[in-house]
Amino acid sequence: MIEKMPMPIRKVLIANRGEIAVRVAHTLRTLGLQSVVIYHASDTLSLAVREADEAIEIPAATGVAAYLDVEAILAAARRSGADSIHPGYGFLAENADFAAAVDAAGLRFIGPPPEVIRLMGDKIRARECVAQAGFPITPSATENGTASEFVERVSAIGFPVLIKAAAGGGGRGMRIVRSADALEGELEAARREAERSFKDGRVYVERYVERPRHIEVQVLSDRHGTHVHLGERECSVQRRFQKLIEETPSASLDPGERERLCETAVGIARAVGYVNAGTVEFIFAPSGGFHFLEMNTRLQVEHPVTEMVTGLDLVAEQIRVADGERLSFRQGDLPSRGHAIECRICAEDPQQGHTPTTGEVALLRPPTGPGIRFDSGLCSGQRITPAFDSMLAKLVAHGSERGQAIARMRQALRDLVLLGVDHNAAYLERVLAHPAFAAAKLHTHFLEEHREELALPQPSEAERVAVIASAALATRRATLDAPEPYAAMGPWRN
Amino acid sequence: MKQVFHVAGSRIEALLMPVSEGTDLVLGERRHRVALRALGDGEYRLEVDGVAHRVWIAARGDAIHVHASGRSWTVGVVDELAETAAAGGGAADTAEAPMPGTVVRVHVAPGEPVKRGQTLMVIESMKMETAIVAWRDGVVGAVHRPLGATFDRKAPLVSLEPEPKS
Repeated sequence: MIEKMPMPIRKVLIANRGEIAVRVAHTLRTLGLQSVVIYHASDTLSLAVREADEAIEIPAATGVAAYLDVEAILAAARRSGADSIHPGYGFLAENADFAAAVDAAGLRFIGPPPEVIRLMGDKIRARECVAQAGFPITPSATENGTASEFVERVSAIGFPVLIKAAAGGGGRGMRIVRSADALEGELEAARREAERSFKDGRVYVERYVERPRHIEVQVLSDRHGTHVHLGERECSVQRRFQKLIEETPSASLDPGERERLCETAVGIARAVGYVNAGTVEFIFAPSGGFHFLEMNTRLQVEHPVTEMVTGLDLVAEQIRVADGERLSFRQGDLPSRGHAIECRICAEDPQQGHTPTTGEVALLRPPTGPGIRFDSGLCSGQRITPAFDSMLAKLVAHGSERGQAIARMRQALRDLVLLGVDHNAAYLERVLAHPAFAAAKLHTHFLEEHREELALPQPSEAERVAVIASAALATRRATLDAPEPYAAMGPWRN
Repeated sequence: MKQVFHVAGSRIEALLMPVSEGTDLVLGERRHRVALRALGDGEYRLEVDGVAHRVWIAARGDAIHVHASGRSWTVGVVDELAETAAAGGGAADTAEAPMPGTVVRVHVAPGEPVKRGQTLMVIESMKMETAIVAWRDGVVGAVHRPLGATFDRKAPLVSLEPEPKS
């Protein structure tokens, strides 16, 4: 599939928002390329709009609708003279029709070809393809034949099982079923939810592995058939099937397992004709052994941990690949240095089942220090609403070894000042402080298993007094026309 | 001036008293000498009984947000008048949103009789669906949010007609 690239990429439209739009714009600036960001009216004052060279508003009734409006986004690309589109993650990033429409419009899609997105986006076809290529998948059943035959095949897998949407991914629409009695009801509910969420009601069922680890491998493939891996990421610390903490390297793999895992990922990338950056996700059973879970055909939220240990800029690599260049390194050339951890700072209440919170960013002071990286699209005054995902920022810490990375992350979580919306930074700090985390005894139900130890501790008397004194004195300064030194007002007075 | 705060699940009455050498914070039986100096950009030097703390403070609406001791705290500023009024009201006729989100299904219309446990509405928040079910037998009085509407925590979702007084 070697073809001549018409013109090098010079101007990239970023079809996304928030931290990933800011992050992509940053690399474009570093490479001397121009950036155009699209935005919805509710994001007019966002950091992404300020960071990009140009910004084009997409009119839409809701924020999400704007970032999914293929026609308007292509029109914005044409109007701005962009020659390529970076989709970020989420929204249209894994939409094969969008990638095809970008190609058809004569623009470059910075990601894999549409047919690869389509194949890996259909979780049933993807599993079949991976299995045919000789790689391990979990025992599963798909819906064909009569309903009773399907239930029979599912029962043959052995309970518990997991129902998943064929068009799903990222944890959405998954249901654990522990007995045959509950199966039909749960299947029906899963089909309805899949139909509503993905406009595709097909589901499949696979064996549910209890207390599994979730480990994924970053792959990078050029258009000339070269495929490399950039190591693995341990993503077992999750809530509601959504990742919260990711790290690399995984503390649970020995060198032999790591090599087998990463080689498998590269083999899968080769088997599907992958191009650009992608991630192959695997499930590890506690007894050992791993199975293919799914492939994400885009840049991953947690890609910064890989960047911290390899020194690569994955967005720059994506652009080089999209430009038709060959990978500038081979597998053996890539040293991995030290250990990196990412924490997802989310607007949610860990004490209330991680339910989302809302508010307004009143004060933001990102942590700093050796090995610390803070990726966010936040700015002061920004409203945090339920309209978008709850992730506010990503905090990444790098250290020469895991212990140092954990220590740096814990301090950075304490140093992060983010006021105006309740978030999970203090909870994440308690997770990292837990002895089982230090011992790397991780699995996807880690947070539930340790729920009691991770609960918010009662404040000490000194903390309580300090907080009340701050509130009482601040209120007085805001309400009274007080003499100096009280006249020096904080920003909250505006 | 007495102030009432909600912090870490407790209701706390606090009184700031000017004294000749500064200000005292009175919390029940306890009394602390306190001082706050602005350092700019939302940062303050707080002194409690001679011990200095580095804190950040931002006030928004009826909450004061404080970063102290390595984490953030949300302090609710309680309006005592409203507090008294709410305690006497009959909120049991309305289901309030337990979290911010979107209405994804509406199962009932005003005037419709419902049985306890019947699903009235399904809401979705960050990829999680939650059913709002009837908490008693009754008749639907109002559906406060239509299909597709978004709402904040504590927003009214569905009301039942008040129970006839017997």
